[in-house]
This record gives sequence, structure tokens and C-alpha cells, in this order.
Amino acid sequence: MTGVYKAIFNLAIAFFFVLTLEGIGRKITARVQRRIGPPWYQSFIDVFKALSKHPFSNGWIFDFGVLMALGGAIATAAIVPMGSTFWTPFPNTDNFFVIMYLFAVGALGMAMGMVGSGNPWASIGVTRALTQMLGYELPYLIVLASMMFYYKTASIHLLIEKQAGGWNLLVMPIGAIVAFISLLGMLGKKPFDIAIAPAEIASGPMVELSGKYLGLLHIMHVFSIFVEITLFVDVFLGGGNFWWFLLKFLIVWILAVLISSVLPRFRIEQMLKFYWGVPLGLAFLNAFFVLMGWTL
Amino acid sequence: MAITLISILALSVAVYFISKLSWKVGAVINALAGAYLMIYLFTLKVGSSEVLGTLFGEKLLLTYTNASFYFSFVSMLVILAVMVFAIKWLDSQKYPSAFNMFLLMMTAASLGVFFAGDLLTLYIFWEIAVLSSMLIVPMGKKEARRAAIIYAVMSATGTYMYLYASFMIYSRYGNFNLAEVAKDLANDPSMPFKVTVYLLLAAAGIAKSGIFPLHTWLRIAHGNAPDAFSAVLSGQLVKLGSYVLMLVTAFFPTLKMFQGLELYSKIPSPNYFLLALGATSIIVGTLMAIKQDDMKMLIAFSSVANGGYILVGIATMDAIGFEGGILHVFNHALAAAIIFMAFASVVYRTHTTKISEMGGLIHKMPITFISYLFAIISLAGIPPMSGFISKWMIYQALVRKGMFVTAFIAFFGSIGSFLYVFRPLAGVFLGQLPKKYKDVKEVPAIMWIPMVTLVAISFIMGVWPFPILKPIEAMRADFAISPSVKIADASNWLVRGVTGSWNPVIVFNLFIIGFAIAYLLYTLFPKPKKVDLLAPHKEEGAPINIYTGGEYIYTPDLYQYNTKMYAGFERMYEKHPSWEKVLDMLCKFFHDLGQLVHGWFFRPSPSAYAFWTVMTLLIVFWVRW
Amino acid sequence: MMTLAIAIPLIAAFLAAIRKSWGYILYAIAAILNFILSLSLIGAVPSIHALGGWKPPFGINLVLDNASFYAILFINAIFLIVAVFPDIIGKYATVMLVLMAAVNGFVLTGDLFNSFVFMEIISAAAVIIASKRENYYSAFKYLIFAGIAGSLYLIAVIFVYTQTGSLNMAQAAYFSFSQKSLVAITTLFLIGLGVEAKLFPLNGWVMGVYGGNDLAPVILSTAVTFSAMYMMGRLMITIFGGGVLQVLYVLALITMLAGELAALYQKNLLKTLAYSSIGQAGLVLAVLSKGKEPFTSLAYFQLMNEVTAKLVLFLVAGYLVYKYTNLNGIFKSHKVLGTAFSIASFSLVGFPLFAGFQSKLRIIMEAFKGGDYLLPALLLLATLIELTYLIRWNVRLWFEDQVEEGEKGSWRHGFVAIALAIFLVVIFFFPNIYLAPASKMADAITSVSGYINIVTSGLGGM
Repeated sequence: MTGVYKAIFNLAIAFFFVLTLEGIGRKITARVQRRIGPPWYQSFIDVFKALSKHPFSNGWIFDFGVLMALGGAIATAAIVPMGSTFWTPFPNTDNFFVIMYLFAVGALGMAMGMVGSGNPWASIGVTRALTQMLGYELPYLIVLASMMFYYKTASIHLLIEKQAGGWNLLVMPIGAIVAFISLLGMLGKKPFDIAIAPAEIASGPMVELSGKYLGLLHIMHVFSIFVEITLFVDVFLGGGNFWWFLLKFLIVWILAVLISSVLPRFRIEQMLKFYWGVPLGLAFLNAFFVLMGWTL
Repeated sequence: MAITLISILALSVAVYFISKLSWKVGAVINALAGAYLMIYLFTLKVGSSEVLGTLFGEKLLLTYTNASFYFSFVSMLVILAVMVFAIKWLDSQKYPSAFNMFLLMMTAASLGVFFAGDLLTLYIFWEIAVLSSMLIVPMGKKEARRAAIIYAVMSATGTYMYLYASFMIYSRYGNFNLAEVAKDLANDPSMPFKVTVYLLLAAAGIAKSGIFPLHTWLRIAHGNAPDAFSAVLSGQLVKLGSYVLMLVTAFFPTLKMFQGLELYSKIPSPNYFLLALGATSIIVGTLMAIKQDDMKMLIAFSSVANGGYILVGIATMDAIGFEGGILHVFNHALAAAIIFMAFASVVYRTHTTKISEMGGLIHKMPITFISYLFAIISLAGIPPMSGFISKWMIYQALVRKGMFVTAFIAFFGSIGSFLYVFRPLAGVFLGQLPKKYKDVKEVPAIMWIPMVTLVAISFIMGVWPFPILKPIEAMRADFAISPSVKIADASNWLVRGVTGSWNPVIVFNLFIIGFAIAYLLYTLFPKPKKVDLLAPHKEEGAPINIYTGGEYIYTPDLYQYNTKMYAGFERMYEKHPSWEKVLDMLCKFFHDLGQLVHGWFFRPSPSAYAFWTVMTLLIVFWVRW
Repeated sequence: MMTLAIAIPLIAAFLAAIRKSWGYILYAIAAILNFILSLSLIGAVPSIHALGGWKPPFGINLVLDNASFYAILFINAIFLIVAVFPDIIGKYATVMLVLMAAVNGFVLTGDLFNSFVFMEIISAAAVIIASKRENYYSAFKYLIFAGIAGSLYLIAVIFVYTQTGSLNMAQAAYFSFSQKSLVAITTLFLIGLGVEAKLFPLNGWVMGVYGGNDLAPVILSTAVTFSAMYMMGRLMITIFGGGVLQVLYVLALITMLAGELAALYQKNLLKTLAYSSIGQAGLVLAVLSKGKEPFTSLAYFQLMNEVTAKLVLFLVAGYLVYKYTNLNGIFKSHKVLGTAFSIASFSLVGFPLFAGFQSKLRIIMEAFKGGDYLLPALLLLATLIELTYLIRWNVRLWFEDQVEEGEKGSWRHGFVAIALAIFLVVIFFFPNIYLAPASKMADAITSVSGYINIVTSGLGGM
């Protein structure tokens, strides 16, 4: 039963912490661009404002897609361990692949709902997002696969435990770099915000969202960010107590925001060529090192 | 067993004449026979054996094993669904009587393949299955005539290699019996013989399950066959190939046979060769599926890719990889069957398979849509559908063995599958409804019930996979594949891998809770105002409540985004080398050879005949003197 | 009594030549009588008949052993089946009767020169039959071939005569030739018979003759081919054992592949089937050239299956080709003919449930047992090609959109074709219907001493 409480705690942290971080991220971006930027609690305001407005709906699949997206994201966020075995809600089910594919449910739900709106921009955005997935997932999965091979486990909390001797960032630095580049793609941050691309396709999937739909999807987005960064922190930045986890989370987030605030956007095939070039090569190099036992 | 199979074969001929009177009665008889066979499978005792007859002084043996049960069960599930589906669907077909006959004949023959206890029995039933299914294929679209020929030829290419190997085995061991042959092979000192036999036997499976060099028939045959039959082709018939691949890789003790040939990670090189072929199929199938505009061809290529997964799983020679591969047989069979039946329903109403000609059918055919949705969730390997479990197992095996390139390909195929399953989802079911389909209705209940039933089974097996894992575990125990870990841990609700476990029930519950929370949030906040995607076409060009992207739309159906969906990605490999062209060249080569022979020896004038006669005379004398 | 098998059709032919309008009736009567006669001969096996009382090796003698008995039984059965179709025979009844006499004589004779004479008569009759439907050029080509072949055959006979001083087959079988002369003789016989047996590259006439009308393939690809194959076995195995069998093996394999490849290229139904029969002849010859049991019996088993299937195919094809100009989807109007055609072609390919399966798989199995890995491989390759074009034709004839309006079919064709097709299925389940006669034939053919004994001791008969 404790698992359930921990899962609820996961969700609460995900919601409040990541929304705060989003605000901070906006602030940082603004400062990088020599603007003042919104206050740190701006994202809270955005979410609650959106939720309170009267929305338009494009039919039942639109509603269902939003529910599926949010439901999937919630289910995923509830399962991710937060930096230690103690903060692992379901130690038997925190398998990496389970989390990875659970995560896809939310993405599929969103894709389906948004295309269900009948707006071509949404469809274009979704296809771009899927193509992007093909780009960033592959190097990421190879790195993770080599790590699982190295530690002989795919369970996240066991991976955290095994890093007691040294963070994976240091054990396999190449892998960590690749995973971080993939993380940028996962987060949809620049230069990988191809799916949203406000200037090109009017925010892509989000084009038809209004009112509470926008709010709910914003929450879903928040949970997604939580899952993505938490996985990275768990797998590469070792364990520690809860506060350590939050700090590492914050640092990764800020790094991502800083990088994204100075870069322009890739085109879709540029993105694929990029991911299938250096990061994928490095991922295989990392796997090769692991096979040879040449880890630090 | 023998009597049942033979009487079903005989019944199939009777069904033809019954169907001549009323094809509906024939279809119902088919469905009843299917249901009977399904029940019959459960009454048979594993390990029982029967003699079918004698051929060339050898006994034709039927043996019922765990593998027979599993594969027959999966087959009957698919076939029974299609048989029920066909009761109504057949009214859109030109040859219902022949369809009924050949479908039942193929069913009996497929079961015969799974029951076969020796190589010869397997061959006989195999050929009957190929022949009867090959005769259904050309009943489809115009292109299906060519498809049938390509299907027959490719299938025969594999089958004849198999036959050749069978007789090689027979001439060496004097035995066709599978169990005996497995023993003999394990003790055979001649490596070249074992490798040759292994690869030749596997060729039949490769051709049938659409593995790389012989995969091209899937596109054209699955794409053009009668729509509901594509479900059988993709869901059931290609599994005959997987069965043969399983026999030669797992039932024959390949690890022992090829001792000393280990290439990487304790996998012998012949097995690795098959694995590489499987991996190639994943790449080819995925890439080609992504760019298809014809939805049936798209899923046909997806079958190529999934056949690759099955082969990769089995060929890893690892307990969890093997189980993953075998479980994928079930998952893909169900998913492909549902998808093709959903497509058959769509075609039944719209008479087209082109994604670019459709859209927005969700509001017209919601049940078909839901079936398709759940099927693609399973196909793409997303929990809580059963498809995830097998993919998870295969990943576990690949990661544990450190096979990163294969793992990369498996990941690529998995993410690629998101891309291609989304294409029909968005292009056919979502978006704007073209005007010509404004009167389309949902298909009748007799057609959607089988789909929904299969969806339910796939779903339940995703949440509680232990019943289906049980025969698979038994199979693994039969074949003694190491390590002997307990994978299905039903008492703890766990599916265990070598590198971790997961609890499908928790995952499912999390879903429910996630949805519940989402729904709660959804109801908490203000009610939305419904706007239509598309106006009812009362007045041409009048903007009735159509509001998209902040603009009134006058021609909404032109706003459907369903062509070249992945243009950016497709451009990257549009100049890819085409294997189909290579095979076409091969055909052309034989054709030209025929022309050469014809032109040189058969067409010429009488003087040339005299010349050839004398030449032969001289050559014979020269050779013999 | 066995002389009657030659005499009845010959007399009928004279009568038919006198009264043209009686042609068909006479043919039918002769066919029925001949069939009954050959059935009744079963009690007389083995025996010989010395014509004019000249005892062998001096005079001409007819030999009835198991091989020739089953051969004439099979051949006369085919003539009987053809008798069902007056429209196919048309005004060729006289020629057909001559052919019937010649083929029976060719099979029964125990004299080399006599066999040459019968072969020439067969050729002459066949050329006339081939010229039906103004197929003159092909018939002419056939004539040239047959002429060359005949002269080579005659030279071979003369060689034998100079060596043994006799034209008697048993005498030749008894005589031990020097290796060189044996090769010379068998080579000449091989070429001489090769034309009728469709051996590559002596089979250039087949396409034109079989593809030119509806009568020629039905009778030439069945009865005449059977007699040629019989004689091939008799000469190459019984009488001149050893000889050039290996050469025959190589040529036969080439024949098989060449025939199938050419059939793959061919666009015309009758010509495709003509090439297919070349391919099948190659297979039979290849198996026959092994020269020993059980290959010989399998060769004849395969030949019987092939001939039965080809009879169906040529009956149906010949009927449809001259009825319609465009055959697409024509079986939709002729379901019975179509079913028979499909069954026959599946049997030809060797699908299970059909006769061809039994013979082809046995051949592969025995070849492997004998350590021959080449024959099965090429056989399967040839079968693959065969399957390609036969399926192509089946699909086209069944499923293409019909262009021409179907007319009411002929019940004779339907009945005979479907009966034979069902017979092919029956043979799959009871292969002994063909296999037992085939192996008896093979026993007689492979047993040299047995043949000599029959001729030297069994001087009874009438």
C-alpha cells in the first residue's frame, strides 16, 4: 500500500516542482535573451487560467485523446523512482522498458486526440513528433541497453543502487552525453521543437486546444518532463536522498533550458541526420566500450 | 486427429456445394466447424500420437505437442474470428462458395502442419495449405492475380528447399520422424550437412513468414487478397512459417548441433544468420511500411517486420527471447487479424484501401475504429495490450546477450511501428470526412463482434498474460532451452525477465487510476462547447459551425492531411535499392533464358534442326568415344 | 492373337479409306476392339508370336511380355478415350487407325527393322495428324526431323545387323558388343528415338506440332510419347544395356530445364503445354537413364501420371483455344473443364492429393537413396518453373475478367476431363493402380535374361 502513497507523492512533486521549474526556465530564457521574463509562478497561473475557461471540443475522440494523454502520463509519472530505492513506488515494476512504453501511451493519446480535431497543422505536428521520436529514442535506447547489459538489470532502482560506487556520468561519460542530447529531443526543447514550431505550424498539435483542454495537456506535459528528466537523473546521476534528487533535477533542467535558449530550430531531416550521426555513433561506441569492459 | 482432419478436408468440398445453394449456410457451417475445431484442440491430450497413413513405406505421423496446441490455438482464434466475420462480409465478394471451401480446407491443412510428427506429413499439409490459400488470393483486387502467382512461386521456393532437405535427412538417417531426426542431428558429426539441412529447412519458414529475401510476396498478396482473408494470411498463415522456424531452431537442438560454431554471445553462426535475416526484415518491413499509402500493404509490410521480431526472438536461443518470440506469434496474430478485419470493414463500406482517399470515418464507424486503435496499441507494443509483453521479452533477451546492433534494429522497428500504425489511424479514421462517405454506416454486429472479441482477448492477455504464457513455458521446457528461469510468475503477478521484472496488473491499475484522475480533472472544469469537424452537407459551401484554427472553412474535406505524412523522413530513403526489382530481374532472367532456348532450339527452320541433330550426334560421339 | 492388335486397326483403316463417311465409326469400333483385345492378352503374357512361323532369330516375331502388355494396354486405352471425340478426330480417322496399328506394332515387335518400319509409319501418320488445321509448316518441320531420325535409326539397325547377323532384338540383347560398337549403335538409336521421345535438342518440332491443332497434342503427346518412351527403355536398357545412358541422363536433364524455361517464356496456352511436355519428357528420360530398378518403374509411373494429366490439359486447352480467341476468365463459363484443368495441372506440378505427388516424391527419394543429389535439385527447380507458368495460366483462366461470352460446353469434354481428373486424385490415394503396372513393366525391361528367355523358349502363342 505504501507504493500507492509514494505514487501519489510522485505525482504531487511532479506537478508542483516541474511547474515551478517551468517558470524558472522561462525566467532564465528571458534573462539569456536580455528580457525580464514572467514571474516564476507564471506557469501555475497559465494552467489554472486555462482550466477555468470554457473550451471548444471537436468530438469525442478529441476528449478521449486528451484523457488518454493525461492518464498515460499520470500512470508513467506514478511509477518512476525518484533517485533512491526508498522513493520507488513499485520496485517490481520499475523496469526501464515498461516506463518507456507506458510513456508512449500518453504520446499516442495526445496524437490521436489532436489529429481528431481535424486540423491539418495538428496532424503535421504529430507526424513530426513521431519522426523526432525515431531520432532521439534510438541513441538513448542503445545507451540504456548497454547500461543494462553492464549492470545486468533493467530495473531503475537497482541501477540507482549500483551507482553507489560512482555515477554513471563518470563510469560511461560518452553514454551520459548521448543521453543528454536525446533528453533535449525528448523534452522538445530547441533545437528540437520541430513538432511544435509555433512559427511554422502554429504550435502543431496544440493548435486546436482551448480552455481546459490546454490546461490538461499542459499538466500532461509537466508529467512528461518529470518522467524524462527523472529517468536521466536516476540512470546517470546516481542516488542520494530526496533533496539531492531535486537538486540534480534542477541542474539538468537549467542546463537544458540554457542550451535551448541560444539555439535555432532544426528541420526534420536535419534532426534525423543529426541524431543518427554523432549521437548514435557515440552510443554504439559506448556499447562497444561496455562490451570490452572499458568503463571508467 | 487423423479422422478429424480428413473429415474436415472432406467437409470443405461439401461446403462448396452447400455454398452453391446458399453461401450463407456454407459460411455458418464453416464457422461451426471452426468452433468445433477450437473445442477439439482442448480435448486432445498433449503427447498423443496417431498414424495418418503410410506413404513410400513410411508412416505419416500426427503428434500433438505443446507447440501444436499453442500454434493451433492461435490459428483457430484468428480463423474462427474471420469465419464469423465472413458470414456477413462475403456478400461483397464474387466467389463466396469457393472462398468457403478453400478457407475450411486451409484451416484443416494448417492444423495438419502443426500436428505433423514428421517432415513428410508436414510437407503434405503445408502444400495443401499453400494451394488452398493461393486459390483464395486471386479473388481479391485486380492486382491479386499477379499476387497469387508471386505467392505461389515464393512459397514453393522455400517449400522445395525444405523438401530437398527432408530427403537429404531421410537418405542419411532413414527417418522422417521429427523427434528421431532431432536426436540424429544432435549426434551427427558432419557440420556441413547439418548447416545445409538447417538452412534449407528454414527456407520454407523464411518464405512463409515473410523474412527478408523472400518477403516481397507479402506486400502484394496481403495487399490485394480478399480483405478478410488478409487477416488470415497475416494473422495465421505466416505463422506456419514461424512454426517451421521454431522447429528448426529450437526443436532441433541447434546449440548442440552447431557446437564450435558460436559466433557471438553463444549463438551459433547458422542461427545468427537467421537472426540477421530477421533483423533485416525488421528494417525493410518498417521502412517500407512507413511510406505506404495503401493501408493493407502497410500492414503487410508490418507483418514482415513482426515476422522478423518473431525470428529474432526465437533465434536468440535464450529462454526469455524464445518465449518472447513465441508469444509474439500470438500477439501479432491477433493484432494483424483485428487490423485487417477493421480494414475489411472499412473497405466493405468505402470500397477503397487508399489512405489518401479516406478520413474521418471515426464518427461513422466508431467500433471499427476502437478495434483498430487497440490493435495498433498491441502491434506497437504499448502496454496494457499484450503486444508489449512479447516485445519486452525480446528486448530483455537482446540486452542480456549484449546484442546491441540487433537491439538497435528492434528498437528502430518498434518506434518505426508508431509511425506506420499512426498513418491509417490519422488518415482513415481521424480528420475530415470526404463528402462521398457521408452516408457510410458502421458494419453489422456479426462483423464487429469477432473484432471486439479478439480485442478483448488481446487486452486480457496484456493484463493477465499467465494463461497464454503457460503453454509457452511448457514448450520451452520441452525444448530444454536454458536458462530455466521461471518467467511467468503467476503467484506474484510478475512477468520476470533476466534483467528485471514487471507486474502487468499494477501497470493496468495505474492506467485505470491515471484515467480516473484525468477524468476527474476533466469533469471538474467547465463543460466544452461542441463544434463539428465537418458540416452535414446540407448546403454546399456554407460555413455551418465549422471552425478550425480560428478560420471558417468552406471546403473542410480538402483539409485532410493524409498523403506523404512522413515526407521529411521518406525523402531520406526514397532512392533505396529495391529488392522487388532484384527479384523481378531474376524472373526476367529466367524468362530471357526461356526466350533464348526458344529462339535457338525450338523456333528455327528445318535446316537448323538438321544441324542440331548432327551436332548432338557429334557431341555424343565425342563425349563417349 | 496379338497380331490382331495391329491387324484390326489396319483393316479398319483400309475400310475407312474406301468409305470415308464410315471413318469415325470404324475408328471407334477398332479402338474398342483393340482395347478389349489388349485386356484379354493378359492371359497370354509372356509369349511371342513368330510371324510366318519363322522362329527367332530368323523371322519377325512379336513379343508380349509384361512391358509391352501394359504399354499397349495403356496406349489402347488412350486411343479409346480419344474415340469419344468425333469432332477432334474429324476426317483423320483413317490416319488415326494407321497410327493405332503402327503404335501397337512398334510396341509389340521384337525385330529391329520391323520397329524401324513401324516408327516410320508412326512418323508419317503423325505428320499428317500434325497438319490438321492447316498447320503445314510445323508438320513439315516435323517431317524433316522424323526423316533424319528415321535414317539414323536405320543406320543403327544396319550396324546391329552387321555385328550380329540378325535383326532380332533378343539376339542383339544376347550378343556381346564391343564397347565401341555399342556406343555407336546406342548413340544412333538415341538420336533416332530422341525425336519421338522429345530429347533436347531434337525436340524443336514439338512446339509447332502440339501447338498447332487440337488433335496432334491429344494423341501424340500421350500414346506416341508413351510408345517412344517404352522403346527407349527397351532399347537402351534391355537390349543395349550400358551404352550411352549417361549421355542420355545429361541430355534429359537439359531437356527438362530447357522445356520448362521455354514454357515459362511462352504466351500461347497450347504451346506452353507443349513445352511443358518436353520438360516432363526430360524428367522421365532422366529417371529412365538410371537404367535400373526402382528408377525404371518410377519413370514409367511418372510417365503414366504425366500422360494422364497431359491428356486432360490438352483436351481442355485444345477445346477452348479453338472455341474462343481470348481465354481470360473463360473457366467461369466452363467450371467443370476448369476444375479438371486445374486438377491436372496441380498433378503435373506434384501437389499433394494429386497423382504427380506420388511419382515426383518417389523419384526424389530414390535419387537421394542412390546418392544422386543433382537430379532432385534440378527436378525441384524445374517443378518451380512449371508451377510458375501453370499457376499463371490457372489464375488467368479462372480469375481474369472475362472478355468473351461463354458458350455452352461440350459434355463429352467435360465428362472425360473430369473423370480423368478424379482418376488422378484416386491415384494419389491408391498409387498402385499405376505403380504396380509400372513396376511390372520395369521388371520386364530391366531383366535382359528374362527377355531373351521369353523369346527363345516361349515359342508358343499364335
